[in-house]
Amino acid sequence: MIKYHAGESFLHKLDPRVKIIMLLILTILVFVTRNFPVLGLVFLLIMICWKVSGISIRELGGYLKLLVGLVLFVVLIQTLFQGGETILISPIIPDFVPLIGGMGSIAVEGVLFGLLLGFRLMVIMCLMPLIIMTTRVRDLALGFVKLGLPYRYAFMITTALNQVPVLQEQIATITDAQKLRAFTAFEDGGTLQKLKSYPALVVPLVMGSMKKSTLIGTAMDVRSFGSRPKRTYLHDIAMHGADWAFLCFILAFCAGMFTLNVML
Amino acid sequence: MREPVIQVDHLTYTYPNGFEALHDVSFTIEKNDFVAIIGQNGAGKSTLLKNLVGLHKPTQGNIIVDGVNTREISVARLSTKVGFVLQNPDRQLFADSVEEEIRFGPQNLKLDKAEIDARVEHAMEQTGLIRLRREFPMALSAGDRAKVVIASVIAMQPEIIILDEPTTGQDRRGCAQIMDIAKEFQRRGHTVIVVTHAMSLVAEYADRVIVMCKGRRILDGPTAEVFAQEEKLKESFVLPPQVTRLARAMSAVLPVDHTILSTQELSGCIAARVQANQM
Amino acid sequence: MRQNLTRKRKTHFATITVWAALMAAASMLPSFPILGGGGNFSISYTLAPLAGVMFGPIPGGLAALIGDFIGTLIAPHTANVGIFTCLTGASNAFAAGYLSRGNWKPAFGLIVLSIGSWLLYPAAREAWIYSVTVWCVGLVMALVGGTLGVYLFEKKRFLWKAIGLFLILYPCYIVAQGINCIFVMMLMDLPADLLKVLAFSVPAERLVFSFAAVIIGIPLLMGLPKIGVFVGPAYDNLEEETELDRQMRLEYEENRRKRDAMQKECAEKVFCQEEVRS
Repeated sequence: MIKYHAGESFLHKLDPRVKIIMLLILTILVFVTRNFPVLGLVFLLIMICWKVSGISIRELGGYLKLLVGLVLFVVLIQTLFQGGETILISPIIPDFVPLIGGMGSIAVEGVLFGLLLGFRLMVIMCLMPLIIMTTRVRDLALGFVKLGLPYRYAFMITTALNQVPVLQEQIATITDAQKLRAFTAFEDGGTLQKLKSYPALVVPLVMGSMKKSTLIGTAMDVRSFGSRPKRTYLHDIAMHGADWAFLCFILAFCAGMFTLNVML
Repeated sequence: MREPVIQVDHLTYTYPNGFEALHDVSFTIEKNDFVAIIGQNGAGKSTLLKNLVGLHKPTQGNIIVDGVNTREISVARLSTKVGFVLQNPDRQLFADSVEEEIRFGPQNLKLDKAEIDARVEHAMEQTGLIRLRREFPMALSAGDRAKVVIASVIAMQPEIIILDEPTTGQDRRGCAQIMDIAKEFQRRGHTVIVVTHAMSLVAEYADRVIVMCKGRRILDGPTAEVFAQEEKLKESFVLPPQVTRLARAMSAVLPVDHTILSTQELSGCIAARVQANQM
Repeated sequence: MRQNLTRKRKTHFATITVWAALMAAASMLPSFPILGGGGNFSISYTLAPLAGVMFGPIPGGLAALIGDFIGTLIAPHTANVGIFTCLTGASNAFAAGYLSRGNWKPAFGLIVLSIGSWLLYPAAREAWIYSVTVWCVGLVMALVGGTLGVYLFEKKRFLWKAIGLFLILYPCYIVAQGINCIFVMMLMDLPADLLKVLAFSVPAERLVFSFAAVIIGIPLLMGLPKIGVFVGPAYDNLEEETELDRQMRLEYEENRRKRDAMQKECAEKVFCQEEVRS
């Protein structure tokens, strides 16, 4: 699970609102970009941010392997099906096969397009963990509130995020409990058996959590949650000079990249 | 000497993060024993239990359960030899009725229907759940939910049953019912291991006590002998039952040559002393 | 505030929050790879439409949105379209919330919207078979789910309930696929040849997802009310205020008005006294 890594870097101290805006605007930029130079510059910016944060990209651990696998899968699919003019390998699927006959040519254009899309996916997936690993949950929620999200929804985000490790522990306990009754279909079984085994795993988890949620609800009510429209915040955030400067830089960078994308 | 069912030989277990939870633990549990494992929080009791049932594999040392090394057998297969009742029964209840829940374990063993039916009936009878067979398990009281889980383990017909803090959150009646089920299991020739913080229950039900402290076994013996060693027990922040401590505090006026474990014993001693004084 | 504790309470805000946490945690469970646009199928994908069925379209959609949003943050490998992946689950729950209550129009409308954006791409127009097997079937199933599905779902027998829920959930997964495709096509611009292959794998995958959601959903929908968590279309009218509740609420509001007025008066008196002293 990707979670917050404490630190004192510029990125850690950056206002969460700036980080949220950066995440949104860079994601949109990647979505509309169709060329390598722009993507390369965005990727460079993200890598510089990783370096500045002081968090090694190796901290992503198993997620990195999944990411690489996913990117390779996308590259492969696009390479096989995109086609192009400069054919490298002739159709892999013979013509006589109905509906999909003649497909699977590997062309230079297809390879390049596959690489482009894989690169796009990689850029997006390197950006998201950066934000969560440099921002405390409470600051993230406060950032959303300051950007206009009603407090109860930000509270939902922080509470849900804080419950995740608890639920993961429960999942592990439930898995062990069912293994102790000689039930291992969700590890050893085929796809159908895995699907049929999910009630034994999910039902105790959901039932227990829903039961606990009624207690959480009572705890919230007895502490007057939502009774008044205005709320006092123990911790607050404020934009400083550096935050404004970085925000302006990001906006200018994205504007520049959008323009470059159109020109190229 | 009865045949050993569990042999723990120089067991050391270190978690993946490097924390050594158990260090060089060795003991043997014989057939038909009722053993209580006690100790402070973090002493390694739960880790020890998880090693016994195969959820953890020893970092060093070996555990032989009913003649099989836990390293060489899967958790699922080991569950037919040693049943484990988790502390929180809600972690495994998912079926629509008590009967289905108890049936779940034997079904996983791929037994035939007649055998499964017989086991389920026997387990429900032993735990007093016959009248609740069609009830929704999650809607039952805490005590009944705990009994459902115990029944579902009994239906697997293990030789050994391990209960991890079975009386947590139970009232006096629930505690008594659960411990009576465990005692009955022992009376039928099986072996019971209980982890608990309730010393009064240990005194009442257990024949033998193992005391854990910081991953090591510091005391092991018959219940009365273990509870007599108060200074050693303090290392693991364990106090003997209140009646034992009371008897010890009264030793000046009520000298006894054995460790008192129950109020009946104490009242008997007092009555005898009063009678002796009167004479 | 005095409350009528004998009244069956509808789902609390906290229950929706915990459901979002469940979806986020479930996104980290072992998953199967899917072909339709990349990414993995995780169990949180079955919890999304169930949120809609249980809590209604808006609370359910919110739970799924937040759950998937957190899921994209902590398990980014499940976010095949980045931060916008959370809209997939939210639309699924939203459609399921309405469809399970007999209103097929939102699901139908969302599929039509997806078709509209879909046909903007030449590759999508070329792979017309995809539109037939996925979108057209989805439209038909939205009508079937919102009518026959709801009728069967309201039955007491397990089998009819399961079939009804399946008919309800399948078009919701098509809605989710539609919203997902809007972003997938923008990001990955899938070629026509691939879409022709996906034309058969996508419906098959949605069938699997619907089946998985049914086998988890039915025990939950039948079991949760038994433990005091009243979820599902059958309990939608629990919030109707009884006369006793209305009296208690009015009493509370009156007391609060009086208390606020008193506090204001006291604060003004203190302020005036301080002014006089100064």
